[in-house]
Amino acid sequence: MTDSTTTGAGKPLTRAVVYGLVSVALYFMLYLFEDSILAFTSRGGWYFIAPVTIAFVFSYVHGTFTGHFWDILGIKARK
Amino acid sequence: MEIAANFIPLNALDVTYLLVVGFIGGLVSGFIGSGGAFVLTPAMMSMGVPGIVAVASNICHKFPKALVGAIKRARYGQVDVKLGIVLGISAEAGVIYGAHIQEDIHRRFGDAGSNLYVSLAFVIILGIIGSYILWDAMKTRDTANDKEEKVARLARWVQSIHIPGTMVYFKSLNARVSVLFTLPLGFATGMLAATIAVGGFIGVPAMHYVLGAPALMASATELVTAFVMGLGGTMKFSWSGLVDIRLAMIILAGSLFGIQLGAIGTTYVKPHMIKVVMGTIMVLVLLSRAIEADPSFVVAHYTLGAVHQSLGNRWKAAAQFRASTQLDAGYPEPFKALGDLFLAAPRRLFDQAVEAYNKAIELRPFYAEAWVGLGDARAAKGEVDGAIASYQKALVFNPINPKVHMSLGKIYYAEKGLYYESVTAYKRAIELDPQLVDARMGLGEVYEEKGLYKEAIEEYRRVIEADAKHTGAMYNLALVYEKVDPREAIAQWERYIQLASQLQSEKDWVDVARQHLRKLKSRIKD
Repeated sequence: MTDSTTTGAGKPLTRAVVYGLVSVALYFMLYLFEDSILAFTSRGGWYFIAPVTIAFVFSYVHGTFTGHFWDILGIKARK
Repeated sequence: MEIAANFIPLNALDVTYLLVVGFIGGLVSGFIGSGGAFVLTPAMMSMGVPGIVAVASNICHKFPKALVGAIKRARYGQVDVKLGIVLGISAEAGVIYGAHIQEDIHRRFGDAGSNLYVSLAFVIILGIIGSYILWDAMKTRDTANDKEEKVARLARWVQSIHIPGTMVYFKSLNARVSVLFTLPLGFATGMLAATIAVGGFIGVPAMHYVLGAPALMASATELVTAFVMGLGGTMKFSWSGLVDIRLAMIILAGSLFGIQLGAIGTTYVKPHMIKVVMGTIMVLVLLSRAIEADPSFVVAHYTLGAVHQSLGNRWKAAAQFRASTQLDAGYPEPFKALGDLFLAAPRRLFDQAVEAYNKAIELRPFYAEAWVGLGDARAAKGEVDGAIASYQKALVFNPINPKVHMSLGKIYYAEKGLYYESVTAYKRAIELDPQLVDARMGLGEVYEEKGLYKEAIEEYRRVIEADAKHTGAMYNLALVYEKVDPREAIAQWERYIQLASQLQSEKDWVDVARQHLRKLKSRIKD
């Protein structure tokens, strides 16, 4: 989910850009539909699934992006 | 409607602030396994987010963050998933019990009791464990190397104990350990999380010093525990609709950058660095709490006042509360405590109570308990609309206080004749606290007056189920049965008389009950 396993220099960059764009799109949607999303996720009861799902989706997309982000900057884990 | 009022509008500055604070919180969590809540919850509250929404939104960002951090550190071989989950599940039980203890302390001793309890947890856990970790880190600094960490003596003993049927192998320990050791450790982690929001300050040292996990693995495994606890917490809070998903996701945006960097950082440092950072953060947090809590013994006066109050020394309590307001006129707790004292005073000092509560609210506009007190004082003065407005304000800042819903239920029906609103408020109070018998009594009385006898009987029966010696409910139940089932009414009156005739306070009511019983019996004979 976070680290690149590829050896090519181009591939992590492409992935970072793709996941970065999707992440920006997700946050833009959150901004655009702020009121309705907030109303839907705070209804309580079984609607608790909504915030939990949103959190999982954002963590997958944005988590992958941030992993690649530091990678591209050359900040990598020591072997 | 009250829920919508919990969520504040956000501007660009707020968002930037949250991103930066989220990044710092993530960096700390990625490195030592937990600790982000210390900066995040107060940051949200300083923006005007109600306390409970700040806690809920912080937890909603915590579990996806911990998940990303755990996966990242699992790639470095630092995570023991089994140990994390075993601790996480028992931590969940600890969180529930810890929250229950908090509520109980608050109910018995008020704000002062809660503050004292939390402060004690800070001093004992952060002070003792934090200094021990620092001392241990300094001690091992010279001998530390990348290869082996010594297993603590306590951990060696724990690993040597064999209790048949309870032994589980954990790879981080490279040993079998009885779950009878892991369960209380997880439980304590959860209790601390419920008390000061950071369970990892027990979880990580427990894994390292008690179970024998290497420091790096302990801090990484804590992320799994945090994920389990965070997921459970998010479900609980969003079930009540308290999560502000925007806040949670904005913080997550910053914290995922931080947690990746913190996790990468762990691969560069010697294991004792984890201890240095963790111990330093614990001690710093403790000191900042101490300074924040008491720059001039204001809290000491206030706490002493609360002790006097609980002992019934009303005037000594008032003197201590006044002393703390004079030392620091910007500290709202003693004003609220003075309000409580005036409200409960036999001399009916309602105007002074209103004044004290107003002062507390002026200092801290989101002080839900002060709004509740103001509502009670206004209700006692007969200012019905003012009381309703105050209660509604209290619910904006803490929508899950069952007693406020109950007070609203009472005032809506008795003073305003608003049947529907009253029933809704009582039902909400019961939903939040099914053991709140006064709310059930109130609801039963409303139903009874409206002729809904079946519903009224149901509520009174529930009260008696919860408290078999509730003479008020027994009396009312017998009265309602007179209208629908005289034979059952006779049985109920007899039960009431049998119980109440032993109580001096019920003497007059028992006489009335006997008259009812006689009339009913003669009616049935005819």
